[in-house]
Amino acid sequence: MTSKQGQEDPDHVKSSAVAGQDEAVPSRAQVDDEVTGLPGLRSWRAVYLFVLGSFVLYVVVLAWFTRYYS
Amino acid sequence: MNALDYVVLIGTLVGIALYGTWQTRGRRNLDGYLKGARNTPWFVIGLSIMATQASSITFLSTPGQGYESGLGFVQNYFGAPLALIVIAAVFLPMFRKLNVYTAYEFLGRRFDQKTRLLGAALFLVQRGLGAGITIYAPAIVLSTVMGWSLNATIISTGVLVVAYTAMGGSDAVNLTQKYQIGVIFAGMVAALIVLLTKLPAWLSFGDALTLAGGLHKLEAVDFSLNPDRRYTIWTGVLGGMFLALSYFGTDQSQVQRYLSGASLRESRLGLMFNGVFKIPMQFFILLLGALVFVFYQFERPPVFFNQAAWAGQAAKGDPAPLRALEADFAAAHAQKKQQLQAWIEAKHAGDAAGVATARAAALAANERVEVIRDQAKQAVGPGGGKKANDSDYVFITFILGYLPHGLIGLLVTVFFAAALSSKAGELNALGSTTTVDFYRFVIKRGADDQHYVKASKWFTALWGVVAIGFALFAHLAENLIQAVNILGSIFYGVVLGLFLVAFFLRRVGGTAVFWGALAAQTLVFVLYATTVISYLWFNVIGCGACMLFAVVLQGFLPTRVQPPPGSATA
Repeated sequence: MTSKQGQEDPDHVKSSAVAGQDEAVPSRAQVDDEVTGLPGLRSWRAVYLFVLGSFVLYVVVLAWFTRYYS
Repeated sequence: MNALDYVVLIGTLVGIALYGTWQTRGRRNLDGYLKGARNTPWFVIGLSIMATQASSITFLSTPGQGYESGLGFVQNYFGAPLALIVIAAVFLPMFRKLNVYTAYEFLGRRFDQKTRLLGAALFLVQRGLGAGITIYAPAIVLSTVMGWSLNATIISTGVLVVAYTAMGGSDAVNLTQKYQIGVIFAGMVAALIVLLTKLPAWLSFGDALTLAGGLHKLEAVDFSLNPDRRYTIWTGVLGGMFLALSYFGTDQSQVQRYLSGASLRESRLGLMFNGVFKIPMQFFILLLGALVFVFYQFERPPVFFNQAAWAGQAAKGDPAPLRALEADFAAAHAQKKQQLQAWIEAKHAGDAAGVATARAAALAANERVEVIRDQAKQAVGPGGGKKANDSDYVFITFILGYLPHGLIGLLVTVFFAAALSSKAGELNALGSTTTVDFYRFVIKRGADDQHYVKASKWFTALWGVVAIGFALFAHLAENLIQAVNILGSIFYGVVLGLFLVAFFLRRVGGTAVFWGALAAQTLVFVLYATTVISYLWFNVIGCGACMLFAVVLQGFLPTRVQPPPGSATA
């Protein structure tokens, strides 16, 4: 998504100060999509690993549960 | 049920429906009606996904499954977290990028319109034919146990869900599901607490688990490679992942839930919420069933839980054999109870030898009880040595027999809330797909949003009428539920194949995948008619064949490198 220059839009773009170039800064909506907003899990890869890890943990705990009470 | 229970039941169900309708009144544009206001937070999406999948059968039958077979069924859900990760990482960003209303619209953007219509048609046939089951299945159990009229139960449930789903659209479904799933969780936790208080005072929670485990009810994970075993970790991870990919990734009733998210982040987190909590939820429901089993070791249950069917069988013929079974069962149960008490006493005394002896005796006594139960199931069964299914009646029998009034109403509300929430998701999806993929695209193009919203409401109501009609006549067909499951498996694989080709085989174009899908569907039909393969395998065969045929056909067609969908539109 590109900016509409000259318009005030808090969700949109700010100019880059580097070499006078305008650089499209992602809107807040885009930024929201990129960040997870979760403490300790800042990338989606980390979130997926967390879900995968919880799955492995469940299997280990359930396997232990099965063995302990059989 | 007394007046208090009815007040809880009717007040909760109608109150949630009215609240949902009132909150979402005045949805005028198609986007708002089909996708909601696009402001749904992740936890509502997560609960909505969960509520759509978990029908009343989940809460009625799964504890019965825990009672009969233990925790092994939880393995069926092992593939879900893996599938949900794939959907969140690959499927979802594409659906959102293209801003589609339905999953099949994506097929149109990626391939061509004939492939889109094929995907939508396969969904409508499969989901439309199964539309009555989510209403019929709980109605048959609850009307049998409560003595209600089956038809009145079906019609009242159906009319209620059609009314608020058609009027409020996707937002009404999400909103009502949030409260319905809240009622469901509250009811199930309350049932567990009451159950634990009803266990004998000398039996601790740990003792209850010891007994359940000793009688093979806590075997949650099976690493066996024996193909005859129904539930193992391998079938759960592989088969479960396949089914979850089909269901969560390509079934519009689920896709519509997560497309209503305020952003990609909210939709993803809603899916990941299910990835984390689906297995514990199923484990909890099954454990509840295993603990009901322990409870019934000290309170004698009926030899056959569906007492209406048992009484009907006694009235039909000579009741003497049934009375004899009841007497045998009472004696065997009393003996088992003594053995179990001896087992726990030995455990408390730290007597390892006594524990081993009492446990062996209890297992033998349990075996005798099971033999008598099997004879009872055969006595009520359809004949030819076939057994009647009794597990659906276990949990409701416990609820009606041992829970206090008010809580009985809450638990019956749980079953109806689950039926309404999953039915609402299905109707919403059927109405949306009919409107977007057929009516707007094939029949009437270029009308304004108000027209399509009105059409969508009518299509939702029409599918509701189909569902109610199907449920009313469901009893005429034997093994109907299984027939619908078979039907689902016959179509699901090919639909998943279409989507996997779309996402992962970019060189394959629309013509190749369209004819490949039709050939794969034909192959599945032929295999179904000529072989005795378990119907679950049709999911795998349909998907694999669709992908293979599409790739082979593409080899004979002019090569065309397909740009990633959405690259031109983003």
